[in-house]
Amino acid sequence: MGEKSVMALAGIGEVLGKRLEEKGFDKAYVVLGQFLVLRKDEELFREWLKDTCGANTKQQGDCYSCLREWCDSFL
Amino acid sequence: MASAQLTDKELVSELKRLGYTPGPVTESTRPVYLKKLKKLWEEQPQPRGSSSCWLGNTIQSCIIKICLVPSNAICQLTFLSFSVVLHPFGPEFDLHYDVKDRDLILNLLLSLHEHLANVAGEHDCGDLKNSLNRSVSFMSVYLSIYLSIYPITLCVPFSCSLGVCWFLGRLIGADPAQPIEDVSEISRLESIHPRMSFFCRLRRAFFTVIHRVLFVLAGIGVVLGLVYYMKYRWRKEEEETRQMYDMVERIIDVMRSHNEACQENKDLQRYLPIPHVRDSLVQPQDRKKMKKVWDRAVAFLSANESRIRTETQRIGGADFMVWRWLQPSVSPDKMSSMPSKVWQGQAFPLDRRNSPPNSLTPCLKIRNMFDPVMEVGENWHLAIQEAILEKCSDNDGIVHIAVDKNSREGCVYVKCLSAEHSGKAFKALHGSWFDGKLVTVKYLRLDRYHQRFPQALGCNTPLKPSSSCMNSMSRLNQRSSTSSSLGFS
Repeated sequence: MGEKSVMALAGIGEVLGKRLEEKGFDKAYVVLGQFLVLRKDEELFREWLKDTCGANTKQQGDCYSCLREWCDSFL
Repeated sequence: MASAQLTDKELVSELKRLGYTPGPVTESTRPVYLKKLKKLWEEQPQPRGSSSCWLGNTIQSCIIKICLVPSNAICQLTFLSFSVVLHPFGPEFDLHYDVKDRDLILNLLLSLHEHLANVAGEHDCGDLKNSLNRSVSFMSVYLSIYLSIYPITLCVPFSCSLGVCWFLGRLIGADPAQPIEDVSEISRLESIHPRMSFFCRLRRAFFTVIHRVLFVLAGIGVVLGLVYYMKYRWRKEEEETRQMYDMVERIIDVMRSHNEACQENKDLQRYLPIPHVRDSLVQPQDRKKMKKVWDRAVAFLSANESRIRTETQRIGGADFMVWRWLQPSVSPDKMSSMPSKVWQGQAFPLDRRNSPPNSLTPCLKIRNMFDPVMEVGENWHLAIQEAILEKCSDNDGIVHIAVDKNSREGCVYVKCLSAEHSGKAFKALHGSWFDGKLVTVKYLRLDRYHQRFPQALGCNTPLKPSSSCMNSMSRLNQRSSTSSSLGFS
């Protein structure tokens, strides 16, 4: 993951990425951090995503799956 | 904004209570968790006594009602189908909020108050195990208000004012003993007017009354018990003292008679060992019982009796405590020594001049047997009865004897089986000397006797002297055995 920007995550495009950056989640690993803090709970993470950057259901699902798979592989 | 927000810890604990394990509550995760909490609350099955859900529901229904009413129109809140007009908060309250807000707040408070009362009442009536059940967690109240009326900000400030909370009931902080200073310290709300069902109140009142009555009865019982016990002790003491004096008198008599015997018989020692005296006075079966009385008598004698001296003598090789009679007798003539309840002989022979020719009735009145003023003790009348029975021991026809204790003439009434028996008794008693007094007898009418002593109607068994030693006859027997003829014959 390194220093990749938040837009590298699945489901997070330019608009959502910008919103996240404004909130302080400028790097992918920060969002990963949030995902982990929410104990990898799908529902909570989706909720959080929606509240923070206004992601729709598809975008939420993509992002969640992406992060979960990364965790399963590398954590 | 209000200071009493849900702290992270409370949020976590609430979530945990509802069965969900949250992660850390941070700035970013907080809103998510709050939403989760709200969702969990709604999903929860409605338990009967849960305050938070109930409150959440009523407040929610209130909110729903508000929302249903068109927002442009002036909405009249018909929350509880009446509007509360009287409230204890003063005119600032009216000014601060407008009508519908005010109604909402007041109705909210009212329902909360009722709910607290019900909770407290339920707790008091039902199980009293967990005292925590009596109060309602402030946080759950606040939570339900906060979460349900989230869009409406007015309830938050009102619910956090201390004055409002006072109205609801008792505030309990984290430490139950300390008073509350600030709203943030409140942890539980408790109602001070518990509402209990009629049956429950009846039951409690009943029990209270029963308990009070029982206490009063127990107090009375204790007092009565004390009184009886004191009386009993007092009576026992009196009895023992009387026995002691009785024993002392008997000892003195024994000593005196021993002294007299010593006068005659110079071979005898002038002292008597104390144990021997005791064994002669007290029956073997009574010795253990009378031990205390005996000891007191001995102590009394050594302290208070001047005529008897306590010494130690060697008898038969063993040391004994003995008593020695010190008073020299006044004269060697034993007849002048004080007689005590013994028959002393006949004053005059009975002939036609001084006695009726034949016995008239079976009842006799015997005069001058005693002087009631001089008599001491409880049982001297028994000695009198014994004396009469012993005097008439050959005549087994006496069925009833009554000593009139109060008569100044010293009267004793005797009933016999028949006139013949009474005649024999007459001859035995009339004109005898008893205890230094001359005894006279006369006949009484039977019906008068029965009037006076109705219990004699049923007496048929002849009475016998109780002991065979015939104390009252001792003088007479002695005199008849010795050849000396003294005094009154």
